[in-house]
Amino acid sequence: MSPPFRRHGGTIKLALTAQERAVLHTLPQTLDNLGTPDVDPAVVRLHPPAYPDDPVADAYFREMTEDDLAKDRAADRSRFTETVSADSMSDDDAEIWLRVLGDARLTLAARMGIEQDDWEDDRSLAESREGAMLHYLSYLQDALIQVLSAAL
Amino acid sequence: MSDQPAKGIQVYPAVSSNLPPIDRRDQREPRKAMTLTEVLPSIEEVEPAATTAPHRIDTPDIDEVDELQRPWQVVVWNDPVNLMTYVVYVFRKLFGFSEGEATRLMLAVHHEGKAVVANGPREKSELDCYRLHHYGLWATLEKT
Repeated sequence: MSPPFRRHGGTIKLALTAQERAVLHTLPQTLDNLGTPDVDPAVVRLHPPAYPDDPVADAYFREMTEDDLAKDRAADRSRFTETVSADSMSDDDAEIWLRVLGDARLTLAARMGIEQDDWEDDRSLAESREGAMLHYLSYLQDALIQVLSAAL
Repeated sequence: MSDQPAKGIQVYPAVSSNLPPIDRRDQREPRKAMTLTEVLPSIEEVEPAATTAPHRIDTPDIDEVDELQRPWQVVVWNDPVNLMTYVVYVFRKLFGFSEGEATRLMLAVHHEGKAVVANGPREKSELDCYRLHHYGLWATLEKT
């Protein structure tokens, strides 16, 4: 089985099946449609408190940054969607892929209620639909990290 | 790009607007606002003479001095989902750590629950925190 990502000159080649691309295509939609913090644990996970012991400073930080963070993430998702069907991508695009794959992993895991390190050894979790997806995204992200790390 | 400073991240007023207030009780020598480096030597020089000369000095509130001097640190906390390889990569990418140092910090996060990955003035630390949040890491800020 060929690796999903491979450096080729100045670009990174994508060797993904149509089925894989179809699955990946759904990630931005999922991340576009998060709930509110009270009903969707993914929202809490994606917006950690900068000042957990200082509600005033924390609210201020949040107010000053949350629009930027939302815009940065929306731009990431938009670029991810543009490149998900491509044959190759730039290193900058790959960096965006890392973050979108990461956000999708955090979202899945938060909704599954994963709070312990040992989830990777849980066989029944791995056989569930969400668990299989989580493992697949781990595999993809790790493969991309290997390609990008070699260029650091 | 995403790992460049984000616009609008400068949350707190610049240091110069956070200086000790002028003591209005002493009108003989109206003072301009002083910078911290001007204030600190003046305390050492003037204070011992304060008993012999009727000269008031503006003693900065100790907390305000702390606020200016003490750096902030960026703490990354353990989470069960982000891959170890991802955390190492993000530390290298955002802070320029060697692979060895990034790995040491990642293992500290993993085994001790958290690690300080950066420190400095408040604005810089907040920007670092923002960038880590953008990469999905659980980062917080605290005073050293």
